[in-house]
Amino acid sequence: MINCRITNSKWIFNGNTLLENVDHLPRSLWLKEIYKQLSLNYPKFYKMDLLSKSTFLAVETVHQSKSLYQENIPLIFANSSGSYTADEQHAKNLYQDEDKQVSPATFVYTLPNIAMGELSIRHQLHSKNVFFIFDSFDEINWEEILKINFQNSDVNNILLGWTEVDTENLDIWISLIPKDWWMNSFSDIPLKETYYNVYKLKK
Amino acid sequence: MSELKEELKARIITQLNLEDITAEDLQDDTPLFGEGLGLDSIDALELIVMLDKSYGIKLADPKEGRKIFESINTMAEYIEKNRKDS
Repeated sequence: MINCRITNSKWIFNGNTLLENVDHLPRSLWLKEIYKQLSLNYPKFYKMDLLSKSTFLAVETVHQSKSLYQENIPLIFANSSGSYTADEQHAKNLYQDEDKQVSPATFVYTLPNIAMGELSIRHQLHSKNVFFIFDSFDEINWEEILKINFQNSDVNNILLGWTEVDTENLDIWISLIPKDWWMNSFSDIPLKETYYNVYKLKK
Repeated sequence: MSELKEELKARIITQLNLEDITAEDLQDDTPLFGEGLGLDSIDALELIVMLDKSYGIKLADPKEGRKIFESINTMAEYIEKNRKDS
């Protein structure tokens, strides 16, 4: 199991803090800092909304450990706010700005599953994907989701994601689950630990 | 015309969030799509909106954009001929 967490204050890979936002940078600058640390050269990143940017960076972190390129990896993602920040910006363009100009670059992100589209373009994934809306991470039955997707399929890995971006916080959790690990030692306790450990970790 | 080209470069960089690119990097004849600047279809829509908002030009046929948005040179030429903001 490989996982990455990104919050407003920390960037964590497999339980190790890679970077802390000690200067309390605004979210867009904080994500840009992580982008630089990953030594990426993908200009499209700059055009993404916060949800796609933060999801993209967490998945890139995993990818640098285990390549996702052209793999048959189902993407099973969820959050509670959908694409709220992009929706809000789009509504502002429509109803509040004096000149009421719609921006196609904003509008295109007014669906949360676009973040998975960005990943699929980046890594040429043709695998299935689904995006759920739940109130919280704990409400998701990850065990059932993994069972359905691993049983009776030739899938060897599944990429799970809780990618919540609201008006204030980034709460990104990406976990690559290998079939072997699921068959031999699955319980939802380690999944929850990788989600909640951000609150316990010190650098 | 050269003033318009510099203005266009600045607008494109801002409007399309091209953070790693400066106006100096963008030559007048650099292809904006494909092998050049690598813009995509969403960027093309942004450019159509920009023509309308900044220069009062409405593209009746979006297919026209393919030629107009080839480079800064072709955009500036088209704007000079069709602008309605002055």
